[in-house]
Amino acid sequence: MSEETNSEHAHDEHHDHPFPTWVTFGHTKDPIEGFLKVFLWLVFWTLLEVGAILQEFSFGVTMIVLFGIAAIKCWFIGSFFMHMTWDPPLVTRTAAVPTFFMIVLFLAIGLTSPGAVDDLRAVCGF
Amino acid sequence: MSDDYGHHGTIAPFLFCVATAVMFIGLVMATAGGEDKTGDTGYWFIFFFGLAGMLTGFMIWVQDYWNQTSEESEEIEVYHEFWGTITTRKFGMWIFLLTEVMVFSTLLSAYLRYRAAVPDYDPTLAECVGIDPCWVPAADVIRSHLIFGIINTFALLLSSLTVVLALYAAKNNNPKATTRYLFATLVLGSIFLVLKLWEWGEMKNGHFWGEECSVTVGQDIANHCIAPKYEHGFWLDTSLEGSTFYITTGTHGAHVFIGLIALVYLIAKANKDGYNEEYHDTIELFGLYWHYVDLVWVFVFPFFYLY
Repeated sequence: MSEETNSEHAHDEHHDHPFPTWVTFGHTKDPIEGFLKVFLWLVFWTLLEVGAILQEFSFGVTMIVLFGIAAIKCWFIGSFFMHMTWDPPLVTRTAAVPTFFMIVLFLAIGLTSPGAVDDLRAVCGF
Repeated sequence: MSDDYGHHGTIAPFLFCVATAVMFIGLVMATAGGEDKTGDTGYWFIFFFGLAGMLTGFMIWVQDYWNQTSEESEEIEVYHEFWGTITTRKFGMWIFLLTEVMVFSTLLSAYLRYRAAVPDYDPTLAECVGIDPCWVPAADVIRSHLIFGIINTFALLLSSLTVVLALYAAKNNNPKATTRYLFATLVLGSIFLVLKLWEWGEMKNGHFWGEECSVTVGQDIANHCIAPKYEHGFWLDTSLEGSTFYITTGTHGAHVFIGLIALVYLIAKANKDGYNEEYHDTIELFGLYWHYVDLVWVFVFPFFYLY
């Protein structure tokens, strides 16, 4: 493949994979640069996470902070590294199924009282 | 599209999966089966039988793909009418990841259940004295050496980036860069596993504790003194904290290890033929798996290392 074709291809990649400007701090033509900035975002959120845990928060606040930052990091990885932003909606819908069950497991069983299992039974009607 | 919807006729995946199930059944029976539930060495035969089947399936699988130089043939690159917008292989990978999410959700929710129900350890609390029913999180044990957990986190995040860069290098017909990025991913994944194993060993032997700590004084995280119940180390069978920590991080580590095996294949394949604009789906599918392993760590790190 010629140099020209290569650059055309890279240009196409850019059009196929546009990043939100707030993620890349402005418009970028290079997808590699876009992914590098996503990585920097992940580093930033990790440092924030470590810094946040050094504070003395209650259990509830700690859970909200840790889950919140983990969810944000998941969004960055899923959306850009796993290409979900650019993939057909079928991929997002497929990923939504386990995400739903994960949230049910975390909230209804993981973070609530043992009675929550009974509550879940009542909510689900069985 | 051909009328066969792309099944390329190999028995390898089926053999691999069934043999893996047999191997694990054998392992469980050999270590925890028998009449007294303490294991029966007679079942090791089933374990090794399954292991042999798994390796055979794996080798057949590798052999099937080893000589291919294109994924554009209708044998592999097919689109089923139901999920016509993505390839069958990619849809299959997403279904696989769907099941994997459930595995780690179960482990993490079990851990969170204990954390929510059991009070955190405090030496001044009367309820934490005696048989020590309070929760001493792994994070307290690791706190003095948290930097290694942070290094591991950055290693995995960076490896996710290098996989993406490998895919883009392949799409841009740059086989050398593809191999380099894949190799970088292998190195970063190996760093993760080595640090993890070292960390496990140190925790098991109690080397993370301060030398001047007195068991009678109790836990003092600021001076790296851990709760009395970990006087002899922190391991799988030490406590519920140890069980949840090692099973969750161990399952994650096993996924990293499997990823490294796949990476060795990808690097060898990249060296042999070179991935390119027409032939890069395997890297993309591996990337999905590797990013998923990274995603799991995004949850494991805060809940086992920070809190």
